[in-house]
Amino acid sequence: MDINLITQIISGGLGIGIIYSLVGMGYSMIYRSMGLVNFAHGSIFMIGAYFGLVFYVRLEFPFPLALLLGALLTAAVGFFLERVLRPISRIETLYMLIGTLALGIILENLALIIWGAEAWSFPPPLGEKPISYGVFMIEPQTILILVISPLLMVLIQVFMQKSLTGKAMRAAAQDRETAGAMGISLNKMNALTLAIGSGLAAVAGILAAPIFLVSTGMGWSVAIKGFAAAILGGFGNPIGAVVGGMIFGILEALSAFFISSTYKYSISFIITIVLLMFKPTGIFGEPLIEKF
Amino acid sequence: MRFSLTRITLYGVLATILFLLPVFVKSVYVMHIINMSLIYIIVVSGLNIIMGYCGQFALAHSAFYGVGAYTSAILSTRFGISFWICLPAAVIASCIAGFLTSLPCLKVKGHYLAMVSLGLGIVIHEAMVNLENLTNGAAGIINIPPPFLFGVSLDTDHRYYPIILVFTILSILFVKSLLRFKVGRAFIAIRESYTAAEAMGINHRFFKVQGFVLSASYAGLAGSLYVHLVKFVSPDSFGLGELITEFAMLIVGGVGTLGGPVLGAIILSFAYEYLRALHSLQMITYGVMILLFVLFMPRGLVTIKDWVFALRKGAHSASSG
Repeated sequence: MDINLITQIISGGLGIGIIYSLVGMGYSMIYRSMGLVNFAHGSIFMIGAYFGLVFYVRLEFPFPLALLLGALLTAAVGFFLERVLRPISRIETLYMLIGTLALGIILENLALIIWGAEAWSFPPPLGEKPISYGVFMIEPQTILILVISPLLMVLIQVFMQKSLTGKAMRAAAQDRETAGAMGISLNKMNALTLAIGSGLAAVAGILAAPIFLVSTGMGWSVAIKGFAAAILGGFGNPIGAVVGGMIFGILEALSAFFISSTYKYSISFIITIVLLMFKPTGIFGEPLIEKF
Repeated sequence: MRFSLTRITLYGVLATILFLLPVFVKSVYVMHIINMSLIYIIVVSGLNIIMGYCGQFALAHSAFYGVGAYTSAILSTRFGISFWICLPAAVIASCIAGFLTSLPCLKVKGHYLAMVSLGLGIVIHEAMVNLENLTNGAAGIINIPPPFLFGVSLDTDHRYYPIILVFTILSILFVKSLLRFKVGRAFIAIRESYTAAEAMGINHRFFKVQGFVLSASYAGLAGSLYVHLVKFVSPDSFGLGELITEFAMLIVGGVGTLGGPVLGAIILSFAYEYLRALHSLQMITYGVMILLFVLFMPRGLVTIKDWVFALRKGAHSASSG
């Protein structure tokens, strides 16, 4: 077996997996903060990719600037979506699911009106020629993903742990009433969490755009896999979501290569489900005590 | 149940109107929407069993619908088997799919259950796309024969309607009677509290499997009726969009109620079709509509009945007082 090929498959899987991780992190952060399972998150991923496309391809901004502007603009969308999601987060999970799915449909079709039905290609900023380094062979886009995403994750983690705002956000997520009594505005903290989650999804969307093609329907499959990542890691645990996403991505790449490319999603879902049979609340999840 | 004369007359008149509907409805298009609404009543009633009564997030329902549809399509086109045999075969096939899906679902709860059932639904959907020898892949199966009844081909929406109507009524009556027996009551007990249900000696695993199988059998029945109506089947009809539609119908109509699936299926089927006039705004309006229903009428359209009763009561007490 060719070692070049194996490293390329695993690194490619890891690259896609980190995309799911970024989306899954958003799911878990939003769930922990406002108790909301946000299935519109895939549509936010898609909107982020379009913003990136507008800045990088149409306005021809340099890629780092396009990435930053795209993420900030999507974060702003997330911030204002809090107003829409606030009432949804207060109802039962069953209604929450359909409410956020409906919001996803609305966002997707707004994008369809603004940007049209065709799929856009997004030229990879570092070119397409695989880079080989000794026995390692890796796609340039994968390098970009593997450099930017962990940096971003660390940055978010530092912000959440060290800054006053981050501490307030964690406090609000942990104990709403006490945090509220301490003068923390819960709605503002939720809006900030949604903004960060949306920014992460936008970065994921822009980084994945050269691999996926940008289209209005691109969000749903990532929405499901990001959710799978968050569940596999333990729902509500952002670090778990990162691990879950990487596992899912690597499984997908390996099963596509070794078993069957047409069944790669089935195989990765089945393995995820089997893992959940042994750990019904995810890898880092705490046992469920709530009644469902 | 009271068998008063007025009640029997009421049901008699209602049944007559329902069965004579094709006489009054001239448009083929409207008749088709009516047939689709009836099929959706069956699908959503099935979803209501597992989600509404048993309280489980089972997100593989559109896949079960697809299993029924494909079973009927394959048997009738490949082997020329009659609709009247394809239909029970489709129900059995969906039951088997429901049974197999329920097993891993017993291990997990809440969001984790949503993920597991959604994942299994995706696996079934991917099988429809990829088992090309059997399902003809993404292109789908065409030329599915219409049902025959006493030698008459039920090849138009108008002729097929009575059959679909009979199955729809039977499906609703079956759910209604279910609730009066141990199974239905056990479902509700499990929904209200796992722990309490177990303490009462209800084997929640056994009943959850039953819930999955029953709800899948509804999807299978509807799937079979559907393919012989549209005479074409492809995996596109059973994806995530389909699941959202079924789910939305259940919520808009009213979860865990008998009338909810009926109202939800009819209203959303017609809304979806008539919103086509808005062209690019169709899906946005559809989404906004669902969102507004979820936010402002979370118990569903069935609650209108309570308002009417409240109004009548108010008027009554006002006149007497």
